[in-house]
Amino acid sequence: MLPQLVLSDLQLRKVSRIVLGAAVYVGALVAADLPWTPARVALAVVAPVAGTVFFTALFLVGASLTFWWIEAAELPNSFTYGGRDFTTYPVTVYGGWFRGLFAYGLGFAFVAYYPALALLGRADPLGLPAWVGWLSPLVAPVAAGAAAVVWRFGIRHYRSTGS
Amino acid sequence: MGFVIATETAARQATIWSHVRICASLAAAGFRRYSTYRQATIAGAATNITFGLLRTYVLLAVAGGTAAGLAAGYDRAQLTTYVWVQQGLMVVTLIWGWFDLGDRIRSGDVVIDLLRPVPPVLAYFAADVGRAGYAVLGRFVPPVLVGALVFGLYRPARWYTVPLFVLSAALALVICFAGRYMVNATAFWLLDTRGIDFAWVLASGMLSGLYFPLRFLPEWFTLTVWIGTPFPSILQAPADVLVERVAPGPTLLIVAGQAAWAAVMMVACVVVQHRAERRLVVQGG
Repeated sequence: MLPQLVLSDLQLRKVSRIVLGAAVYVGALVAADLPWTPARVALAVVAPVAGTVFFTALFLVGASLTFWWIEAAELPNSFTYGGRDFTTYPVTVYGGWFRGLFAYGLGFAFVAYYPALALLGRADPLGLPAWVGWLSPLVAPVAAGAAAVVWRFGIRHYRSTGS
Repeated sequence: MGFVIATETAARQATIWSHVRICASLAAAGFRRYSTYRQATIAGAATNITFGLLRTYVLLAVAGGTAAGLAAGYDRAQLTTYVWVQQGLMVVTLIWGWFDLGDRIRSGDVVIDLLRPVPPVLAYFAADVGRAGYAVLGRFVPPVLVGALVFGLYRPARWYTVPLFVLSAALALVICFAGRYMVNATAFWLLDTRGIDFAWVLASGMLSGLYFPLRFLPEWFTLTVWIGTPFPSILQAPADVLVERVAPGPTLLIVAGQAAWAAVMMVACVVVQHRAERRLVVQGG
């Protein structure tokens, strides 16, 4: 059922976003002039795919929340679009509990920040070891698993609003 | 002769009074309609708070990166207040996500609106004022309180700043309502407003100062946009008034500019509505 719902509204105009994003990404990688190793190439390829899976999982969780909170379609925006905005800046920009929650609790730091540190060969100013960056794409399967659980639980227990 | 004039005046007064009564009950209905969905209020306020946190941290990082600690002339307290007040105001003015009129045009229900005793623009505005009143309580106060608790807010130094801000926010509501109404009214001609709505969302997000204060951009550009489009008058203007970004004279000029835009937009709104009514073919079957 899920693939059917997802594929029922494919908009061709959104392709431009993928093209633009990919172009910026490749441009940045070229401009950064990195010492390429097989591991770097692998991470550069895997990280965007993992990020896509991660955000797809988030959107699914967000949509599933409306199983329980019917008029709450705005709430998922805070971690879908909010999370997207969060990942566009280095996490060092943020502070306090907010950074803890979004970067590590929800895992947004592992979408772009830690892979970028690993690609650039920089140490984390926040003190996490270097291997974190190389393993960060693993948040994607974790998120996808969690989203699958929420979704399945939601459709099993779904009762219509009755109106 | 005198008798005729007297009855005409009396009749006109009676009409005005009934309009006022109808508008008041429409406003009350608008308030009740939105206050019914408490989950939506909590969910929406939580979202505004998240985006408030995001924007504040980014702007504070910009300010922290400069020698004077100023970003586009705003100090830390001013930046914080700017962000949180706008997170509340964007819901009070309802800059995005209003499709009531467009949906009714598409379904044909708009005919009922045209049969009502109050002109449609006035009726929709009355209901919108009620909605905005609820938004002040449910969607403006919570994020501003959180901003005050987490970061601390700017304390206005001039006694008249807060009342002037209230006036400025009210004008912003009028401007934003008229803009939304016209975007929805394009459905009279196009039926599908998605394209126009996308353009509105894009322009209003960029040019209203919501994503970042317009003063980050070159002065000639900011000035052109401010005078030439209504968007800065919706969010940038009230925020600038509240944080006292400019001297008293220019602050009054900002509010005067808003008043001018409010008048222009409302007149345009009424004109668009008249045009639409003349060539309306109701959809449906």
